Amino acid sequence: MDTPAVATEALTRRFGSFTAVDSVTLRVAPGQFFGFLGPNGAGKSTTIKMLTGLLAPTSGRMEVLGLDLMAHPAEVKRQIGVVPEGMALFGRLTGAEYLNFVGQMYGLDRPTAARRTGELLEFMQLGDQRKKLVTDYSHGMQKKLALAAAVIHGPRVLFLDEPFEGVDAVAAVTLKNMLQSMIARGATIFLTSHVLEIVERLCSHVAIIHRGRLVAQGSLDELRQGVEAGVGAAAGAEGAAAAEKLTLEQIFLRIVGGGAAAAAPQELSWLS
Amino acid sequence: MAELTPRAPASLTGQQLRAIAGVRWRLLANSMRTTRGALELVSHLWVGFWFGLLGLGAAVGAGAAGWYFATHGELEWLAVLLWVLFLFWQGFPLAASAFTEQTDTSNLLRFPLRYPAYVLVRIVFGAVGVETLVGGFCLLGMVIGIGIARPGLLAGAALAALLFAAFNILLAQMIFAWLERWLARRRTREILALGVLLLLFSINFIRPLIERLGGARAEAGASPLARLLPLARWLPPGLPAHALAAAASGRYGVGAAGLLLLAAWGLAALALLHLRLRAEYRGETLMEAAGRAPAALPPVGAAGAGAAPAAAADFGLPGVGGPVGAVARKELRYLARSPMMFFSLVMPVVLLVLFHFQFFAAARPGRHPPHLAGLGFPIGVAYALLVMSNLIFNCFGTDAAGVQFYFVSPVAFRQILLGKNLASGLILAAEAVALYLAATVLDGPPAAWVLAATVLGLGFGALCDFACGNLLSLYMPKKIDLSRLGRQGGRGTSGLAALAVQGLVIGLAAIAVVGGRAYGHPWLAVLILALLVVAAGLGYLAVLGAVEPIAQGRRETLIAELSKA
Repeated sequence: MDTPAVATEALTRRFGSFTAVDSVTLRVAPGQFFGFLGPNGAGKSTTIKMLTGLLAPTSGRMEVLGLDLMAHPAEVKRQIGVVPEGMALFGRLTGAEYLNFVGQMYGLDRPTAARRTGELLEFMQLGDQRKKLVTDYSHGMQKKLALAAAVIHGPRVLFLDEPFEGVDAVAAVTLKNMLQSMIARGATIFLTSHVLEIVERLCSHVAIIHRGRLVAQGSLDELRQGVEAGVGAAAGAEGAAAAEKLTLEQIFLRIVGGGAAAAAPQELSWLS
Repeated sequence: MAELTPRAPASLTGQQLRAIAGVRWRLLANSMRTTRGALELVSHLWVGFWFGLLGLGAAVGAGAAGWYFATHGELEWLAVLLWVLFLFWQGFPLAASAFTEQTDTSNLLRFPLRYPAYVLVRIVFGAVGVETLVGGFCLLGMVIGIGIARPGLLAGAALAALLFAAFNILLAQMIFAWLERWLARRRTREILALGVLLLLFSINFIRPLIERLGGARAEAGASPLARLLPLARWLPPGLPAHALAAAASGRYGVGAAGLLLLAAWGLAALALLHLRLRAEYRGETLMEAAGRAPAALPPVGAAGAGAAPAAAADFGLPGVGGPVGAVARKELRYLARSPMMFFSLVMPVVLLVLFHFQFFAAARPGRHPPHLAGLGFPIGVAYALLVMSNLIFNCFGTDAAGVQFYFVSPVAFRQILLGKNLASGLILAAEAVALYLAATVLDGPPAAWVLAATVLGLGFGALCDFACGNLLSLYMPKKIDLSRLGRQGGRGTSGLAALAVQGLVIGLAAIAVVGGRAYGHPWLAVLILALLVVAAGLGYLAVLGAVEPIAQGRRETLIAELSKA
């Protein structure tokens, strides 16, 4: 059996008495486009932060490409690329300077870093913005730059925390093209997003985390089947037929439950 | 339509001001929830206490002076006191811009705050500082002194002091606001740098002329300074003294006119400040590229055409490659685009020039305090170390949320800190060269032993600063906005710790130099400093070896603190 690209075992993170991530056990096979979903505050970003070395787990194990992240952090980091929440850019460098810097930090020699910087800026349609300070970039341009920085060293695993948040349709197409070409070349992508349509279109496998616990994991079909079984048990054959056509959004809502939304007041009288 | 609560503008402004005051109080109270927040408050109180004591001492002196001048009918002489106070009020915030902190109020602009309310908030928050504390105490002491000696002048003295304080507060903020504007652009930064350079050289050529003129005037019975005194009477520090002297002699009209003129000076400062605040209120940003026209977007589909050009060549640092060189280059680029850094680097040279006339140039046989002769270069270097402390002792502050990158990259923190320290070291070296040249132009080359002791002292100070600064940067990070001059968030505890380290380091070096010279063995000081450099170097290496687990253990605090909006 292949070594998983990403694997966690009983991964837990507590903040005081609050458990943000509770015994999460994940397996992401190499070459998978993996969507990690959950409602706000479910523990997605906390998990991705632990997997990329931004946060220490309270307990549990994490492996990336078969390497224990806690024991071999530098080796793991050389193999991965990250677009963290907030993007972590250096605002007062130009786009070209930033990519050059990141390339050198990942061990690329200066000519290679400069060449890849040029190529990435052109690919991301940022070529004419190369001399502009990053702080002057629009949000979508910063997202593209952050993704370019995450891939400049050719990572085998890419972690993306909300890469499509605040990105317009044109920029989103560029990002999706790049991600799909990486998957075609054998890379693994671990992505969190609230845009379920994009996840449904891009990801082959999905995990759903809710209140810190992993509540579902598998391919989209497997998730559908799981929901189908639940619906079928509740509503008979008719319900099972309806479940086959469920979108990821519907699956997601069934799994995490819409109870909280239903219980909330439906309108604010003073607003309209 | 959403229901909007109708409210009169004045009432709304009052409500907004109360809300702002309330939120400041809540922020202070909430900061006490963490040990760090409590420590910050304690350190601010501690600093405030000492400056308060200084202010009280100065107030007693000012009170005695006010009493004496009022009793002896020499109120015009108050001008001397007020000039000193004026120079302190305006000079201290500039000289200490690397250490002082003020609340940034520009983030209030997203709320529907009326312009007058914004100006008021900005002025009130901007007035909170050491200079206002000390200056306010002095003026209060002076008013009390005058009031005891001449109770009839109490109201006038209080009004004059109030107007003088208001003028100083407005002028200091106006100067800061315009400096921030000018230093935000590379072109104007270069013009200012050229101006400093020209000043440096012109002073050297003008000095003999002034001295010759001074000699001629002295022979004629009137020094140049004495001839300037009538003019000084119409300037803000001279006006309160002139007005009070006039009132004391029964010329109330002249006194009132003097105070009106002082108020006019204040209004002029306010008008110039208004130009900057108005632009800020309308959404001006002082970003480096703000003045450039936006580049045209490429036509759709054009991006993939042709081969991608390689990015512009990166500048090299001889002998330094890999991640250390990359971090050092990044730091140098960052600082080159910072008005704060530019200002900090220029200030030691400016102060060297100013002090040259006060002390060092004065250090000539028969005229001057010999203990400062020839020490302009080392004192300038010590000040340069001080102005760098904000960056050395908080070296991740400028990275803001970018600090996350260091944690996801495969580079060891030892290398990252080495790169940052290398950049700071290069800046300090450049600063030392500039100071050496300035001191040589002004006073001739420093003695060989002074040069050697200063270079070693700089090495000792820099190594100690880097070692302690690296640890403090990991333990007490605070986000720094490099586009602003002042108006940074408070970093009381680390600022205080940095000052303590600086005091110790500079104190040790000064003891070695002064002691060596006093006992007639200046080269002994050089030897002692060389030993201190070796010890500091070992300490620095030990700290570098220990930073990795500290950084990993502190990563959550670092990221959370530096990613704050």
